[in-house]
Amino acid sequence: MRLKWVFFINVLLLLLAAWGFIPIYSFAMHVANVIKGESTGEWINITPTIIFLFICIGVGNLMYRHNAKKHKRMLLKLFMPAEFSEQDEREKMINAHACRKVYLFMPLIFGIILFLMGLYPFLADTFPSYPMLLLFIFPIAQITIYYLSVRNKF
Amino acid sequence: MAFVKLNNRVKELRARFDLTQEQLAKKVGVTRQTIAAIEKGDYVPSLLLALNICKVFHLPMEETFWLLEDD
Repeated sequence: MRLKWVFFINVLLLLLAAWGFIPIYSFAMHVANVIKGESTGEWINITPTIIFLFICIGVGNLMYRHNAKKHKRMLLKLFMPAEFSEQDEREKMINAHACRKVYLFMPLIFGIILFLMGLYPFLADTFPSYPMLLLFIFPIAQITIYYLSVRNKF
Repeated sequence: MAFVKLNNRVKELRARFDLTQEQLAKKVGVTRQTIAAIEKGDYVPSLLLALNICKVFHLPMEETFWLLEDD
């Protein structure tokens, strides 16, 4: 049950990150266009970015507090994902198998992203932030494969 | 090719020593789920864990764990 929540929170955070970073990407594109002299300044909505940053600070703070109790403030372990707090050798083995599976699926995910990237010229005018969205497929797919591999095993 | 399976008497010995899975797990420093997985044959323990389990039951390795060969 706990793992299920960790998975959903991770996916939710990544979706929020995609939502929050699209305005930044659009802003960078506008700045590039202004520098090139192709357009004048334009207002953009950065509310999603601010919401995302606030949620990140909140989650980071919670992780820090949770891990600080366990690891006595060892800097590297303070932001350790909850999935990797194995309690014995069997749990370490389950994690190792899941990570292996994620690694094996990497070329497939990469291939799908490359294929989807090929559609960008057709979507560039209507959806300029399309590459930014594709970028987030990678971690979401990795987390999903990991979760499907470890669920019901811990 | 011969398939080798590790069989064990952990469940039987645990009952003889009147230990719960949780108690045995605590004695050998693993989770209860790991003891359950070993008993069911779903998980092959490391040499260190197997030796620790043998130590709890005061038995040599071959009387607790043994290989089952299936051709």
